[in-house]
Amino acid sequence: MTRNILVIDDDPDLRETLVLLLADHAVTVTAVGSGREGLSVLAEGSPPDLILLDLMMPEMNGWQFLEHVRADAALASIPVVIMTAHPAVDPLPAPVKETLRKPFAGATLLATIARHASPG
Amino acid sequence: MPSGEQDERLGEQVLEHVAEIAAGRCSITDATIAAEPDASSQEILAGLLMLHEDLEYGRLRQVTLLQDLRDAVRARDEFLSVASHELRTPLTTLGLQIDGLPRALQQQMGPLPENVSRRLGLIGRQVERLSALVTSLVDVSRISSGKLQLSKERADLVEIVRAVAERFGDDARRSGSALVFEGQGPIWGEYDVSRVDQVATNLLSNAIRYGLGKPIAIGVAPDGDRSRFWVADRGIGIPPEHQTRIFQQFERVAPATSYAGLGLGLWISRQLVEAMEGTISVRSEVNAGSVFTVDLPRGA
Repeated sequence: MTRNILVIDDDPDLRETLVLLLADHAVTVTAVGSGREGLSVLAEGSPPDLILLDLMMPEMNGWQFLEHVRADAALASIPVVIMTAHPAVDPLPAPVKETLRKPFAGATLLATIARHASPG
Repeated sequence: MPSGEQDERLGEQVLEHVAEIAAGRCSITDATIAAEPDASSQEILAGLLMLHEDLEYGRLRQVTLLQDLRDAVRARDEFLSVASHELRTPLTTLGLQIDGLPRALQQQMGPLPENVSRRLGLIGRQVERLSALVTSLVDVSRISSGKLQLSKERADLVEIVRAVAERFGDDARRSGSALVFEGQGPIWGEYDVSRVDQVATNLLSNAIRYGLGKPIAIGVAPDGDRSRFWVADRGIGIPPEHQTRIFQQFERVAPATSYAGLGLGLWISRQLVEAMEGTISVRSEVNAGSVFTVDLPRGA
């Protein structure tokens, strides 16, 4: 079963890379460049199985995006994995399940997705 | 006033002024100098006033220099932090592309020719190396700014160290060193798995780098309510006079012209081990090899 993932990262090359890499592993990726765009994607379509979220972004960063998600009951149950150059944040704020510390390997990414995204 | 008494009074006055000057104060003014009855006393007090002014100038200069030095260190740490974070994003993309490339190529062309997969493997290893270097820069800036955070969990130390040994199997083979794992588990405790992995990784990559292709042993053992792991090589070794220095920042004993590295690995390792309330030590002999031992509490 195909998993659907929302990627929010301001680096266009990383977005394209994730789309290509995950397509090889039966993961459908919608990729946007800011928290604001992420929120409009979530408002339009059906909820993804997982959100991969960058933290440092212009025009609504990851933390601000998480505040909006937490405040919306329909979105607060979607698991989120943070992708960041900073070491893990402790404790992780809900609904963040895990931190992927950049740079991370493809195998690590796939294992993390398998752990947290139940295909629906 | 008889001159003996006058000398004695001047002597006391000078001592008082010297004590004042030493404490950073001075009550000598042009008026107090002018009030002195004879020229030689005036000269002595004027000399003391000059001494005070020189010392004050030196003190101010010292304060300014110290501030400049602190600013420079802070600027260095900020630069390290920004630069290392900036480097991580392109490295992530590069690494993921390389990870995905064999699969994408195989889908197009079937099984990859030997020379292509060898090249891909080589590129992948170099990206891993770059990533490790950048990670150590990030760690330096976090440790220097006191922002290091541990996240401990219940884990088996034998498994953590064994995983590192397995990961280095290929590297050891390429360098010609036989890698032996010594240890029977489990040794359960509260460990920061990624930080313990990082220290073991650093020690093992050093052993391979300086091991002259001779056998390397990596082991784990319980020790009462503590636990220990070690990495032993039979390589170039470390002269006794350098065995403390190697744990300091940017210090390297092996010539930078012959051996790669930033001189950060052992400093980071020591900082991490100490943050985990452990100790790291070395026994070594030139041309016979080195044994690095990390002792950790099992925690709870």
